[in-house]
Amino acid sequence: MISFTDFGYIFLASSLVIAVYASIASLVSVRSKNAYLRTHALVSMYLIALLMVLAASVLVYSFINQDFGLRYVTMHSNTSMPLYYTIAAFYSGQEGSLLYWSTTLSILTAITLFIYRNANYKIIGYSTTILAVVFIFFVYVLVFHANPFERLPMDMPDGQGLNPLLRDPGMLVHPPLLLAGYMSWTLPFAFGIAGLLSNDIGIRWIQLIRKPTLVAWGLQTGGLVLGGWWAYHVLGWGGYWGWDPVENVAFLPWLTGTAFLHSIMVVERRKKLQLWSISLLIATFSLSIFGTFIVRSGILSSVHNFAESDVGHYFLAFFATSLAASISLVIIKSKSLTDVTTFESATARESGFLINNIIFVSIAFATFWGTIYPMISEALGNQRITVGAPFYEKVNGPLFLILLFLMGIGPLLNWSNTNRKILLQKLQIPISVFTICLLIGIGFSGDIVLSLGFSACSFVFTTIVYEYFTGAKIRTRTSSENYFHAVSSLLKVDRRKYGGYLVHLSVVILAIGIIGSSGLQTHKEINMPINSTTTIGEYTLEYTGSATIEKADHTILASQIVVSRDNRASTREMLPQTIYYDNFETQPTSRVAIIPFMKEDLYIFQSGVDANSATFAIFINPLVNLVWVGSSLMIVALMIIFWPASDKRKYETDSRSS
Amino acid sequence: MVVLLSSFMFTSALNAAALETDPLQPNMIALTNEARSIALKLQCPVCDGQSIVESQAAVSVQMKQKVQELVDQGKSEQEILNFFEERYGMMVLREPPYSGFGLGAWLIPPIVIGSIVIWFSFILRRKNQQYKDQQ
Repeated sequence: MISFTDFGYIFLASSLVIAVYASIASLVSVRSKNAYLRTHALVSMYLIALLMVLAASVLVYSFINQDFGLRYVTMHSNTSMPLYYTIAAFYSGQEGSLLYWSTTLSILTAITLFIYRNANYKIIGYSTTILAVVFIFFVYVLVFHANPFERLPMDMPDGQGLNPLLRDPGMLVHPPLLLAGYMSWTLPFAFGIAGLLSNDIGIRWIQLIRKPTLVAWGLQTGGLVLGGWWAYHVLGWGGYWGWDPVENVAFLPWLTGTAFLHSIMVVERRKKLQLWSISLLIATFSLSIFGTFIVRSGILSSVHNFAESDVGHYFLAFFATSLAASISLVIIKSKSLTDVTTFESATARESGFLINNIIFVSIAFATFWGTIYPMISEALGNQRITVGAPFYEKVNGPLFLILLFLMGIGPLLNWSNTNRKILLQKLQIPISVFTICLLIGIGFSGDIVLSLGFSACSFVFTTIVYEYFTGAKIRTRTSSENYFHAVSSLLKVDRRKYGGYLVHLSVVILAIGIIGSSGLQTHKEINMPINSTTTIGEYTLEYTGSATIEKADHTILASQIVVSRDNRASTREMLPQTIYYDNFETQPTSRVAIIPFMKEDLYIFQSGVDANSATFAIFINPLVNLVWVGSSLMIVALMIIFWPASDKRKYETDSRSS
Repeated sequence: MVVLLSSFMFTSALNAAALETDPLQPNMIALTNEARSIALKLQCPVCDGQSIVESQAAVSVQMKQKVQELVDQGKSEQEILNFFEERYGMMVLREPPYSGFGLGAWLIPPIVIGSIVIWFSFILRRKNQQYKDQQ
């Protein structure tokens, strides 16, 4: 007898079969130039997306309906959870997150293939095959090794519920975005391999691949930032990025992906770095698979250990196979990836991009190495060396600083060659601003590193403003626009360049936030008896007492702290909490109390409460809100770059399609 | 509405012995800034990827107490780190040591990157030469 949820499994299995057909049909359609088969393959991919949405809907419906006969639903939800967490539980575990990944992959594939369906038939044909093959892997794991629709021998009265650490608003946004980010690198990867297979890595290929890459980049950025925000208000150590292995592996594809976004500009303008670019693209996709392998295998100790499972080795196999196949393809095709021009000058823009790429790759490698080193040291020497935050700060810190400077100088360089005299002239104001900031910084704080960081930001900020200013000035001369108007038309006319500068501006804001919140942070741990006060910065904190509050499925232990600021009459209340969920009493989670003032955050974490006192860790994080502002601005800038221009995109259609 | 505690959840007094057995003992330790910066460099031996500062595990709380004790005694950071390394092994250090297997962590990145950069400039120089010869 088939139950409703079995249909979910049927949808999955059907998708698998259709994907196998689509991958073969698409390949044959390219070789034999058969338009009928090509359409068939494309329609199959659309059909797969529909089937996956149906499968996902069955699972979501089972959660909402509280079907505790389904093993996955029983493990991750229960009757006392609010609806939004119940729905979020869909992607909280192994099977569900794989289903989420596969579904979003099928949807993004369908949309992308539909938009570019009239582009070069070889590229679209090969891409369809690659996308189908990747999809086959994920659905294979779902169907045979991680079935979300597995039923229990009998229905349970109630479920276990979501892991307490996941019962936070962050759960509603971080996993969907980060998983989608990981997943979406498959799209540019498919176009990349297709370009290699059809011996066509030219301008058209670049125009094709840029938007899917930007989409992936945006999703990954969003996922990473939201993960940081979540860690910030839950983990209670005052920061948002701890260089935890799982954070690191999510960061790796972002790093190589950003390098790729820059290197294809060199390929487009100067027809060099093709081999390098395609290697970066392959690395990015491979790292996305590697990342999910590390998270799901539990092979490294991390705060994300709840994602551990036994399908890790399938991902390892897929990672190794796809990487080996891609590398082989690149080696075979390397002859056709000849550079047309060379690097003549060290101050040419392409040289700047090359250095940019080398630094990104260096950061990626150092992060990768530090992440896997505990495994290596244990395998080779029986000693499990720990590589924690101090390592990454020391190694990556200087590299990021250099990158920051580069972000400022790069736009001032010209392609092929830069006139040294003109360059020095352009650099006069930024360098002066930099020097002034450096002197002020060292004078006020005595901290050279901190001052260097802020000064670098001021340097980059100045060059970006300069670029906008000179661009706008030219426009005001040649047209009737005023400055303000000119700036917005700059964004319209040369969206990529000035939108890119906007992204850089967001990065500067983000950097100021990071430097301020780590370099200028003040903190104290203190045990406070009831009704005692303490001061930190300009704030006076009074601990008035604690209470327990019983809720439906959890107990809250909250402390009340009354905050007053110097010279102000009004007070505010902060309630740092520790939360104990039924079924999970030994895994309390925290809710950090944060007041986001404009210039800084007041942040209080409750360590422990006893009969007479409570211990708190109190932080002042200056400028931390610029981290969230900068990140949001990055996404806004990305959307500006994406905004359709008035002219019809020529590369979406191709007269050579048969 | 916050109601002041009338009955207390944790009536058992803070007892060092109780810490070892009861994972729910509240963490009442407040580290001085100096002790905290040292504690941030020590890994919790039983948790996943956390330093003893973030971890609420009983052993982390004990280690924090010890760090504060040693700091109060005037021990230096290196002496304190050595103390814990002797007892828990090298894995307790969040920063790889600059000796033995720890060196592998520090040296490989610059070696690999340096090699890539050198190899790159080599290839570029050769290509520039080829390009000039063709002119």
